[in-house]
Formats: sequence, structure tokens, C-alpha cells
Amino acid sequence: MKNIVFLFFIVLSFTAFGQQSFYYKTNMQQIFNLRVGMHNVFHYVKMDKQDIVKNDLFVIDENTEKLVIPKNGFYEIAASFNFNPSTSVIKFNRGGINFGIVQISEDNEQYVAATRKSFDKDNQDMFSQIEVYPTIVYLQKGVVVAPAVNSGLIGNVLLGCVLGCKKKNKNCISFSMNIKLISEEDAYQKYF
Amino acid sequence: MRIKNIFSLVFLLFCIHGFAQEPSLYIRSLRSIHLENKPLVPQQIKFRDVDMVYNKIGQFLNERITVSSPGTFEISAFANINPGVMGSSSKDSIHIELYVMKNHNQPDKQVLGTTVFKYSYGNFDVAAGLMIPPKEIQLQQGDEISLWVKILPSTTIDINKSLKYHHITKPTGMEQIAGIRIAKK
Repeated sequence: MKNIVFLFFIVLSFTAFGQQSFYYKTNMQQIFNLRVGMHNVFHYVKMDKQDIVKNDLFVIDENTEKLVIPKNGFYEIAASFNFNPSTSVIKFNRGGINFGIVQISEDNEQYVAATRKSFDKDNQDMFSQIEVYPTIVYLQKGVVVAPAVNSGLIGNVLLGCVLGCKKKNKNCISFSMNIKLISEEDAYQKYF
Repeated sequence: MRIKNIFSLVFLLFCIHGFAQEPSLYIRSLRSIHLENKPLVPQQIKFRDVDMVYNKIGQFLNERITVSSPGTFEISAFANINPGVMGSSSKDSIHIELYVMKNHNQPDKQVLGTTVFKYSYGNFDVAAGLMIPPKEIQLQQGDEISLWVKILPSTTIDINKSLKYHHITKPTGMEQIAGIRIAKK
């Protein structure tokens, strides 16, 4: 009998492993000012604990301010940004903006999953949904992950870019993010 | 009896651990890649062994991705492409298609997913993200998956023709260049 109970708990723990994930969605609005040549500056998306839909991946309590990767492994990351450059200055100029999830450690701050969106005369003053489709990366225990926007390659300063929703649809999903631990295998290669 | 139980337990753990791993594949290039200025000619984005990030569903041999078992899969892909030229007027445009193929050199070849980006206005010399959204498809054992680029004939100006210029490239501020994800459903 003891053996069966022990076995049950072992099976349960391994089954649970396969489902460790974090899902977040919000309709919160946030304003960004993107400047020419500042593509090394990540503008981080503010998050609210109340908008966490599911979490059995990160350790989160009332004092938590960062999402810290709990163990070495392969993670699948996806995200969605509802974004409006809110400008009329891109016109015929450059309008490349980057959206994604950044890994942050002592000596590293870079996108691990991201999408480049090019804005031009036709979409410079409207909301576009930018998808970061599922991306698999190897992340090390202790690195911080955070959603961010950066200026990529733009020709004009973009003041007042909006991550948010149209006035007529204030409850849309302005930002969502899904991170799933898919394997605890070791890896020694550099993955982004 | 106890030893037998321990062996059974270890075996079970191995089995469960195997199932716990997501049956998917993710490959991506960290190297930039040159494109030829040849409208309508398919140009393959080739990957190498070092590009494989994660693979639990197929084989990657001689730069070919093949799936090991039949089933329903979700496929998506992306490439960041910069034509490397400036348009001379606002009427100029460059139209580039990115597509995923099954068995490109076989009679049953099939386009599994596609996207087109139209470079216009001032965005000619900016790397644009061409994204093929996730799509469910049926694959058979041994099916080969590959990623291709084609310059469409509606393009009005040449892309950068320098042999040294790499059009599939890191966009400013990002490491991502091109990749494919295949996930078993």
C-alpha cells in the first residue's frame, strides 16, 4: 500500500511538471516614448499581479517584482501586443519597432523571443496586433524575463506610442504573455 | 521483491519523463543569409546543425528536417528580411513572400504556410519581420519541411545586388533572424 501511495505522488509530480506555465493577460494601457538610435533601451511593459491568469511556474508573492526563471530548461514563449504608434510622422520614413520578451542577467539584456513590426504611412496611427509566435529558448535558472518594446530602426522620435485598446473597445487584450517550461534537459549552447 | 519494485519505479519514471517533454522542434539561424535578386526563383533558407535549439519530433540530417512519425502538427516560421536598398519614389515597392514547404523536391510538394511583405515608402532598408502564423497540418513519417523566400514579380526595383550583402539579417536591436517551429498536437 505504501508503495502505491509513493508511486502516486511521484507520478503526480512528474505529470505536474509537464504543465508548469505562466499566462498573463491585461487590458491595461501604457505609453512609450521611442527615440531614434536608442534601440539598446528596452521600454518594459508594466505588469499587475491581478492580471495573472495562471501561474505554477514562477515564485510570486506580495513582494515579487520580477519574473525569475526557476530552473534551467527549455521554455516556450509567446506574446501579443496591441500597439499604436499614435503618430503621423513616420509617413515615408523608417518605422521598425521591436516587441518581445527580454532575458535579463548580470551581463546580458536581450530579446529571447521577439517580432519586428514595420510601421509606415498606412498603419502609423492605428492599433495593430503584433504577435510573438511560440519560440523555444533555453533559459538558465535565475535570469529575469520581462516583456518590452524598443525602438528598432526609426527615422523620427515617436512620442506617445500606446500599448492599449481602442476607445470603443477598452476591454480588449492589450498585452498577453505565455511562458511554459517544456523540458528540464541540459543544454550548453548559446540560445539567443 | 523490493529490488523488483525499485526497477519498476525507475522504468516508470523514465517513461513519464519522456512523455513530459514537449513533442516539438525549434530551429533558428543566428547567421545572416544572402538573397539573389531573382524574382520568382525560390530561394531556400538553409539551417545547420548548430541552429537546432530543440528537437523531439524529427531528424535533422544534411540540412534537412524530416518528421519521424505521422500526425497533426502546428507549424509556424519567421524571417527578418531587409532588401538593402532605398526606393527612389513612393511608388516603388518590393514584394517578398516567405513560405514553408513540405517535400519541396517530391511530386507531393505542398506549401504549408505563407506570408507576403510589401516594402514601400521609407521601409526599404529596414529589416521587416515576415511571420507565418501557426497552422495545423497533417504530416506523414519522413515528410520534409523547409523554409523558402521568393521575390514576387510585382516588385518594381531591385534588391541590393552586392554578393556581400545579407538580406536575411538581425533587425536593429534584436538577435532573431529566421526560424521554424513544428509542434505535435
